[in-house]
Amino acid sequence: MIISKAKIKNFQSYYDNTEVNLQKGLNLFLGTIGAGKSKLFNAFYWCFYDEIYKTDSGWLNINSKNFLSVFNKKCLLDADINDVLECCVELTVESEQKTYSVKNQITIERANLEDYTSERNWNFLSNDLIVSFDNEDGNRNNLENYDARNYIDKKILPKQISKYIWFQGETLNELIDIKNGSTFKNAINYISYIEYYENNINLIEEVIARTEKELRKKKKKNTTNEKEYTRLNYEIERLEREIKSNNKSIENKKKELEQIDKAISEIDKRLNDINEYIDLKNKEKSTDSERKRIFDKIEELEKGKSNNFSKKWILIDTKELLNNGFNKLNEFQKWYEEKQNNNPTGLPYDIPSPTYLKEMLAKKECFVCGNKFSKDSEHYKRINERLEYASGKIEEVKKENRELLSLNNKVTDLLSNQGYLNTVVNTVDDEIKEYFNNNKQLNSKKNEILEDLKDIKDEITSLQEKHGNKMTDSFLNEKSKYNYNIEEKEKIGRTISSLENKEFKLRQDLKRNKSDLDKIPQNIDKEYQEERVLKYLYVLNDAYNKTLEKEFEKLIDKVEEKANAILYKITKANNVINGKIKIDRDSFNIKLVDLDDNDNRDVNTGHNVLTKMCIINAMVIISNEYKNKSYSFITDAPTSDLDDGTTKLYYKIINEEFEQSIVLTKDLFVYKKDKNEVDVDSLKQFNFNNVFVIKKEGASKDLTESNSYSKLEKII
Amino acid sequence: MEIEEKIISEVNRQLQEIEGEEENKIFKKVNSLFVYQSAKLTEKDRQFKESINYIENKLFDIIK
Repeated sequence: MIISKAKIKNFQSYYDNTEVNLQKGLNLFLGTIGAGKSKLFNAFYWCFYDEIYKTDSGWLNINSKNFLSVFNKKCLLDADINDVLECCVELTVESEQKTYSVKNQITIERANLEDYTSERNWNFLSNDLIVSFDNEDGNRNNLENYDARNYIDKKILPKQISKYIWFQGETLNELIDIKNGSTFKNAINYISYIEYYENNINLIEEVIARTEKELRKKKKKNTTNEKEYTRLNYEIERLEREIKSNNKSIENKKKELEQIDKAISEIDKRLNDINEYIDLKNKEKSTDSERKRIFDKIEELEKGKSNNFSKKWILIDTKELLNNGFNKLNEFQKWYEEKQNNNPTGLPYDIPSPTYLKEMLAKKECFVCGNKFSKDSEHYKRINERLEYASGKIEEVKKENRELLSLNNKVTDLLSNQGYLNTVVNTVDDEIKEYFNNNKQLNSKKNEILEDLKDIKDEITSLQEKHGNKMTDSFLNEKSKYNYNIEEKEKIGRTISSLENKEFKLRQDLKRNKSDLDKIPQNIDKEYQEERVLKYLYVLNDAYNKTLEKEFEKLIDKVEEKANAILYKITKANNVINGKIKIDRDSFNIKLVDLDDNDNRDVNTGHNVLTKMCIINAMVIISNEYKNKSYSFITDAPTSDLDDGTTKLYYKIINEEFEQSIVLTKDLFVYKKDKNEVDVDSLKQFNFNNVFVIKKEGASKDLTESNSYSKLEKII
Repeated sequence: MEIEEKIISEVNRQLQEIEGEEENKIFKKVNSLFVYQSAKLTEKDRQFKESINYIENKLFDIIK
């Protein structure tokens, strides 16, 4: 099967007409979140099966009550009263030498200009599914609605297997839950060829039962003990009915068990999410405390800066200047000291002192040479001059000295700080460097913490969107539901055991009654054709049961082998896992083990996702080979939990393994640096031949649902 | 190889111990009858009752 073309009109985010040609091999559709990838997936699925997938709601069947879910919002908004709108998806499919056109279309009419998003304000006119193809005789065959749906189911892509072959990445856990073996068994039943073998057995057992009944009817006419024969025959038929009814009960109980396992798995996930939520809240609290601590430290550092550096910054690179300054101060002090001992006469001003000179003048006697002199003498005059000069000068000097002394004191004071200032100047550069380093480290730490905090908050928001804001309130309730379901599971398990024991006993009774019936002699010894037929049927039934068992085991072996082959291709290249996939043959649980078959303890979400995808792909590939059929493999967001390297390898592998695959993903989506343009060259290395980008276009300022739309552009 | 042929050949492997050419022929015919009907049933080309009736009609012609 190859889908060669898709035509979309007014479907979800695709406004008006969109057409895309698809090829064999990998068709890759790249788009960012919200671009329209899932809507394109929905287009394919809705075209065939009238269903779309909504995140967090699951699969939604589209009908006359919810048809607006598939219509493009812009076309709804633009429509006037009485305008007729069409939403249509048409796929051209090539399968088993026929070319089909599969077209699903809904037509509506605007009833009024009120809320365009409500079905009440629209008239639902029609919903038609049409499958058209040319017959062998060249006539065009057009099947509609019920017939079209049946035809798609029988001849093109059975709905039962569609969810594995056209799979939504978000449903991966439902399709294969590695801890719930019944999901694997279901997948085997839906996808593989085992159903053919099971139907062999169903048919032959029914034919055996009817032939035996016919034989008993014929033999009754020929029996020697009609009463006993009738009693035993009645008993046999009663036992057969009871076995059938018991089987039905076992089947129903097993379905209940499946539902409960599913419920347990879902509750388990919710409990895990709640625990994760609690951990995240605690982590948020501690990270926020750390944030506050870092912010405080930064503030402290800033204050320190403004205190210290406002004074100290001026000293940067002043070492030479200060040294020069201190040298000058030292020079001053030296000069001051010298000055103290200097006067024009060669003698200090105060020698002899004015007191001494006054005494000499009073006594009119020189105390140095001892000569007496008169008042009008030259000696008297000179001594008096000396007195006047010395007194005046001394006052002058005293005044100058006072000023100089004060200055000298200040200089002395400054010089006493020389050591300290030198130290400060020497260390200020280092202090500043240290400040900037600390500042840088703290800011880097701050950014890291803010980033962590944002991630934590995003995870919290995501969990709250999934489960509501009052998650922790529901913890006890969920726990109680979990325990209740576990108990129910055990009860059902016991019921099934008891029913199986009952079946065993019933079959034994049946065997005994049949044997007793056979022992009643016949009047005439004759061979009935039914007896002859039954001999062959018993042998064949036995052969069918043995073949089924053998084929089932072979299939599991093949699935495991193929899944590991796919896994090996990926892990060999980028060393994501060192191990292999193992399917438990009793429980059908799936796990990753190391090469010695021990449980692999380093398994994370990405590993589990990869495991599941390898299993599904293996089942589809093997089944396609066995049935000699091929279906287009379509998947939306399969690799969200995988790293880039693994993603690239996975796409390479599905390109090799499937005749056609259509992948919608945001991964591998790389923009050129600083430009709003896809880096096409980065994709060419993978030799993908048909690559598209899905872009969101519309009003650039306000990309709301009603004025934006998806657009496809082929880039490779 | 079509799926029916694959299944027939797998089942015939289980019937290898049967002696007698005539017996063998009959087993193979009956096996084919069931396998082709079960394939139609699996591929939803036929309902269960239709398949049973068809088999019963043919079976008594093959095993006389």
